[in-house]
Amino acid sequence: MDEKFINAVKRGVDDTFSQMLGWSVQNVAGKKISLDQAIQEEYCVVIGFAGNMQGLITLKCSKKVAVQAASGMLGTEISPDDVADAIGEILNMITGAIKSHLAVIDDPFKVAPPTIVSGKDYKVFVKSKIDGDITLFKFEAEKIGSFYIEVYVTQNEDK
Amino acid sequence: MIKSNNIVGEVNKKDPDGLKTNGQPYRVLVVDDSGVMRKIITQVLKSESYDVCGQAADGEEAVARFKELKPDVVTMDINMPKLGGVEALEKILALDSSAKVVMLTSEGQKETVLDAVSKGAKNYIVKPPQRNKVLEKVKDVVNG
Repeated sequence: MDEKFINAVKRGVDDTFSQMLGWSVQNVAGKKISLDQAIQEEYCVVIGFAGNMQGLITLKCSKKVAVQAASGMLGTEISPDDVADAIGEILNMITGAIKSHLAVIDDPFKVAPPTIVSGKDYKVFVKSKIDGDITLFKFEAEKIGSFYIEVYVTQNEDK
Repeated sequence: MIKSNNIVGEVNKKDPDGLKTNGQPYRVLVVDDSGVMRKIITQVLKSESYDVCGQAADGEEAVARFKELKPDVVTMDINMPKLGGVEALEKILALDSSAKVVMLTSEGQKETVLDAVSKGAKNYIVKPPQRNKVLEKVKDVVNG
């Protein structure tokens, strides 16, 4: 993944959490991993994108972080559906922000709606031309906890 | 529980934006496939005394609720199932050419937003929605 995309991910995450929740988040690590090393957390949001670039982006976090995010967004009583909906919406906004930060690339991709998985025993399989490498970003929200963004991306050679 | 001061803010009881000169509230239809986003927009608007007279989770429901409720203004998400926000905008404007619709969009959808504005949307709000931006744009539209 090139430097421009990496910076777009970091800025997209930072912008979204600061504007939506007032959270200051620190990127503590960004590294290449294989599909077998993908992080497993209780909540996993997946958004696919396609166009000049294609792939998918995931947001993975503990139940505690997901609940704190939903509470921070709503400031009221929240239901389990609100929690899933809130983190889906957060990744949706992060993906939009990443796209915006990549705007120098002509229409980099179209974004699909988020899918949210919750549970403790699941695996994300990726069937595409992506070579199997994932870029993993670990973020730390002060006094709240860690969450992870994983990005699987490739240039679409058909375009 | 964490209270969000970031988006929803405090209730304005002194000269709120959501009241007409006759003291009646402007009626707003809030459309978004995210229940959380509908709640946030509703809370922000209610804090300024707007009457959120209805909500819809997709474009088809938005058109049906518009026919039924005839709101003063609609806040309309762009990416939704069944019928998208731009298509719903067109159907609403076909029903009432003076309808006031504010689009709600994530960043990175500049072309879609410009398309919506060219088709008759009065303004747009970029997500994450900020309280002052939501109120400023809805106020401009109801007064416009």
